[in-house]
Amino acid sequence: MSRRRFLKQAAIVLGASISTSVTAAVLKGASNKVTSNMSKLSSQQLSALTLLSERIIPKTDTPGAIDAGVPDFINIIVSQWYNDEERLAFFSGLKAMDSFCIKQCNCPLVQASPVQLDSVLTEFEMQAVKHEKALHETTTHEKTSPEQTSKPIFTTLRELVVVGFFTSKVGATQALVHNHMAGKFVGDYPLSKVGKAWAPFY
Amino acid sequence: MLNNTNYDAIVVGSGISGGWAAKELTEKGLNVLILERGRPVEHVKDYVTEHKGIWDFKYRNMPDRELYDKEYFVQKNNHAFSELTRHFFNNDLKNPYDYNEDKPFYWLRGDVLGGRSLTWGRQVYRFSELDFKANKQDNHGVDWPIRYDDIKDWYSYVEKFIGVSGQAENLPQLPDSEFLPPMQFTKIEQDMKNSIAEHFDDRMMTIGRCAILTKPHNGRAPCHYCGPCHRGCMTGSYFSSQSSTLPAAKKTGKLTIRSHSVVEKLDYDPLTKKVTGVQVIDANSKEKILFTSKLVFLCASTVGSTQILLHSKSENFPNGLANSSGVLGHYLMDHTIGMSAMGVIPGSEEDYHYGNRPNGTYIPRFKNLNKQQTSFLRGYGYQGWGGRMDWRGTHAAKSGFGKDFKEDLQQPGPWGVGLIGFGECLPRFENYMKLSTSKVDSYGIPQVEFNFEWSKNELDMREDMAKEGEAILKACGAIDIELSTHIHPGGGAIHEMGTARMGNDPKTSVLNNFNQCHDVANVYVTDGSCMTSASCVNPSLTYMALTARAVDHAVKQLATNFS
Repeated sequence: MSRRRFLKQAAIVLGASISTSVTAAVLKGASNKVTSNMSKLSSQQLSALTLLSERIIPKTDTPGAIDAGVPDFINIIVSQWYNDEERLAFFSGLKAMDSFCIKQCNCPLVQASPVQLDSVLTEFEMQAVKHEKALHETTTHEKTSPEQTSKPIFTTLRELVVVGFFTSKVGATQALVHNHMAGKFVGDYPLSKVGKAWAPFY
Repeated sequence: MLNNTNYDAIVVGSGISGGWAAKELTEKGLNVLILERGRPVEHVKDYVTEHKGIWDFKYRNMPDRELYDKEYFVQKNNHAFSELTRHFFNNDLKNPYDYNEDKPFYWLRGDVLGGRSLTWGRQVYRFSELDFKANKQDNHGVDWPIRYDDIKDWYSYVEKFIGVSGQAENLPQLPDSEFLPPMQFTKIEQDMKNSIAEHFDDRMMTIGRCAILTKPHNGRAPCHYCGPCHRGCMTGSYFSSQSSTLPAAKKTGKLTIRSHSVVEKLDYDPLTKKVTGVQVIDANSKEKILFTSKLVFLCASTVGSTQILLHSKSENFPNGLANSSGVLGHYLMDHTIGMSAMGVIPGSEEDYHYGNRPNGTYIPRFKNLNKQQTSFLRGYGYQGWGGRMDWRGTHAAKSGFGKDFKEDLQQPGPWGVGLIGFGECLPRFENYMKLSTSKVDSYGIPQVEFNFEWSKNELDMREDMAKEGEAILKACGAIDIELSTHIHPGGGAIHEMGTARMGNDPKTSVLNNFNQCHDVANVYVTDGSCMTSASCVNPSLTYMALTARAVDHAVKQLATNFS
């Protein structure tokens, strides 16, 4: 069930204030200081991310994360869009996942089987849920969201994959229904005629 | 300093007001020069991001944080500003004002031909008699020199030209416009409308009234529902200077547009008590040029026009042109925005919508209409929406990963609903803009600085907006309601106005009942700076109507040489 509040969408009217996350940035960007320290992912890191992202959004009857170029997207975001602090947090999170994999499965992420990768992701999701719970108990009702940097790696990684996937051409036009030249607006239209969600507009 | 062709009229600015001034003046037979400080934007050709997929952008739609922090630190606060529209906006580094981060006032500005008409929210509502009487009634600001009857035909006139989609509701506080067919409600919005009617006898919900065509109109095609109007529209289906007023003005053969032309000041002749010319700095060559004309329309935006007047000092006007009253720059207003109520309405899972509607819903003002009901004066309205959420709003709340997680996100989320309050702001002398005494821009023109704070009245209204928003959503069956009483800094609603206000008395106002400067008969100001009070409705339609009305007056005056 809902572990986290929905981010409400002011899709049509005006940008409501929402949390400073990658999703929020896609909706309407907030920003902070970035140091332009280009720091591309190593091929090892990129391989691990490629495997993990495909486990998060796999190929089904529609293309998956790899088809949608998600690893390259994550590479651009982490190396160019993230600031030093965010990048450091991401790398150390990825390293923690790799260490856990070695401990648990006797191999690094890049050699792990799909089942092993899933077990790593499951473990880190549990940690994220714990973190979320602890956070929930300590914060007041003041609506501040945790900074990207204090987010658990599972949360950060999954969000990057989701955003990278659904904002890609493949994700928006094949996993969703892209209807950007609709020609008309019908306010009450059966979902059964569409079958899936429309790709949003920006 | 070159002397240039003599024009009948010069219009400064090409946005919503400037485009209208140019159209009306040229159609009345005058030779008109538009001076635009920004670069040219050609209809269709220069809408470089229109219909592009978000995947075509390096960071998709995420902000280029480093660039924004350095060069767009103010503009990034505009809801329509992103990599998809950045080319329409001012560069804050290149064209600075004296921005105070600790006490911010957002001056959100375009820097192109067409100005903010390209990126505006397109919501159009008439002011009502209640609005024009407000200052007199509660004794804030000065009395408007006009009433609803003075402007209603001009509203009709501009609406018939621009095309306004909406639903007639016969409300005294929100007069109907000349409507093209309304856009449809979504299923949940229709349910909300019904629930509100059922639970409340003092309020109602209508579809947003917007300057977007729902059928062919004056040679322009109707909306094709692609969604993001702010990228520009090849079919000219929403009102912008490019789609509507500039083509009409060009058709007369009497329009000259000069872009990259930064107006420095107006020249005043104390003998004739008129302005004789407009001093321009060419943005590229930095060359100074003087343009002469018999008539000047200032439509450079609220802050822009007031800045020009303040800078046009002379022996006769040591505090700025047409400022014998001393109120120029003062009584700055904006709408309060940021207060919201959002929630989820369960059910209706088989219902969806088709197409991308660039418009929302509207709950007109319902407080203090016939009697004072609250501790605060005046009131507010809500813009809202009710639509199915998508992955952007739902993914964070879902657990897991893999096939089920993905397929879940490929389905629409629950029905999200929201109401965003727009509150009226009182006109106060203490809220003002002025010219910096120490900082100049790259043209040597003094920078603008702002002194603006929300007063107790605006702050007191917030709680009510949230509380009533919650009551409305609850009546509609919403759950998981979140309220916000956050308030944006001044300028955040992009409805800044009031710095050269209209009034009956030259001692307390800059402009008369026809937007003509009390002190200088051949200068008219018809953008937001003319506003005597703010109402709580989006003001652009009123600027258009006042502009058309002012041109009608000015051309008659010109015939008698302003005698």
